[in-house]
Amino acid sequence: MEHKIFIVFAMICAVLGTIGMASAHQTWMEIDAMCVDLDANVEVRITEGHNLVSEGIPPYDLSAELVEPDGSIITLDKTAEDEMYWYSNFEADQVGLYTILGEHVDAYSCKVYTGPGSRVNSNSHYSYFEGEVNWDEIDKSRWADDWHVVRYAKPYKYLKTFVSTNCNFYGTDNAFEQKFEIIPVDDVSTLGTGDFEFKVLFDGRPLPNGTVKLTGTKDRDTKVSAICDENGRAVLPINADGDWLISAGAAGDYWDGAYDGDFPHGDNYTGGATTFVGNTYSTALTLLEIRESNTATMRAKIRPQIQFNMNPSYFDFGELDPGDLSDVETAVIQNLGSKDLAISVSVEDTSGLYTAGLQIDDTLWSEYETEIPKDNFTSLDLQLHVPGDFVGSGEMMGTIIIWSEAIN
Amino acid sequence: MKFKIAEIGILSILCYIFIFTLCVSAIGIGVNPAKLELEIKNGESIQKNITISNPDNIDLVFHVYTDDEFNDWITIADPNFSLGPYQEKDVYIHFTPLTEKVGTFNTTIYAVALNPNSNLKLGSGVKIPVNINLEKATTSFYTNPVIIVLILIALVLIYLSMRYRRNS
Repeated sequence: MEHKIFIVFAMICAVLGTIGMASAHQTWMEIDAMCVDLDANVEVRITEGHNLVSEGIPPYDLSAELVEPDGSIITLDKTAEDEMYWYSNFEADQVGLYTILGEHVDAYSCKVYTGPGSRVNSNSHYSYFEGEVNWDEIDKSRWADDWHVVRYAKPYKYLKTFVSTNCNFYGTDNAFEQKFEIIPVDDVSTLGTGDFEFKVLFDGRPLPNGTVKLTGTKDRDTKVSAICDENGRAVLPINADGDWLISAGAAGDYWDGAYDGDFPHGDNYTGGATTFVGNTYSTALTLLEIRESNTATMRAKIRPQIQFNMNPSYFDFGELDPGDLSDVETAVIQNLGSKDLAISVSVEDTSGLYTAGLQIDDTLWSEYETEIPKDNFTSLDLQLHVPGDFVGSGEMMGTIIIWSEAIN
Repeated sequence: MKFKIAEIGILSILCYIFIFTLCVSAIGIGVNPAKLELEIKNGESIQKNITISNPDNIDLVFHVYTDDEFNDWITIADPNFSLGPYQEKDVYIHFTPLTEKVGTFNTTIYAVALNPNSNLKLGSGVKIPVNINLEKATTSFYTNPVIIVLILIALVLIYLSMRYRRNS
């Protein structure tokens, strides 16, 4: 079995000719500000490195998408790249919260215990190899004689951040269906003022207690971490202002794979089946200190006390004869203001057709009244009953007005 | 034949788009504030403004008016106007109560958005209750007629006493 895996490794390596050495990089998303002006052009950057210091553009598969305030989801295409960053952008033309989601699927990575002094200019006891590994071609002269493969896995890295055009971050505690996702439970605008609770989900559910380690990183010297409980929750003591990268990964054992012993190792290695083979997952949430965008002015849009609309804006009751009852035309009235509304209807015409025959929800229009709480809507079924003795003909003119008045 | 089918197809799509456009557009209105509370002294006038907005993506015609019996009291500057999609406008309203009475007077200002492109006109309207608390005008100390008369009497008395002293 050991020989089979060895041969497969060697063959793939020969075909691809890819062999490299890399440490386990963290991938994250960057933006300039979480509060932006309406219609601002938001630049999204993705990079990888350590401790919020960019070291290069993440290799292999990288993608991003945008969840807009109205719930629609669009793909963010790459607009540019340089040595450090993958770039995209979007125009924030809706009022509310934008959620930017990213996914980085890296190449298979091999983590090998190589012992003290095995890497030049490094104190690490581990070496990392990217892609398929040709063990024969690796210089193992500095390695300990009990070297062994610790992990051979495909890394899946998930990224997330938020942008708001009204500086209101209501909704950041929603799950956005990332496979591995950090959800800020507390208000992100309070970040840096003390304990902050997060929730971490995998496939929409919390992993068992102790599986996930959550880390907050401000810079190389400012880090806090905690272990998630059985509900996926953990509290980080974030007591410093500034930008933070909240990341989550395996606390110890990985969960999407198995431990295998059929891997090459040094002559004196006796550890047995300790190589994890499978997929590894990490996720990073970028939270910036709330600051204004370039204009450095404060902005808030207050909804009018009364605002509503009716859809559609046109009714056609069709061709009717005296005594006929038209098909039902349904209108939806949506309360968009900050107060609850009382709704009534008025009808004016010269022919008497609409004043005598317009019915709303099976009652004459003049008797119709309803209330719509704010942020809610109601639907009206309109029907025209042409009086049997109606003598007019042709297209009938009239005016229907849906009236609203604030309650309280 | 193929050309005709294609033509019919294109016409159908255009008709669908036309009908769909008519059906999906909404007609709405936004008004701030939702009501007006005014305190006016007899003989004074004040100005308030309300903000009218178009929350939809079509041009709408707006009308602002009040109850007929208050037409003499309430003057609405630029009561008829159009707003493009998502535009808003401040409407200035002058209140000049033409009565000597004091007390509370209630009326309503109406703001209506109409879709000008249909025979059966549809409108979204807002009723803005207006409570006018009309108070008696207070008279300044120096313009109070009683005070003026007393001052005049005092001046006459001073003048007479000085004249009496001079003669004696």
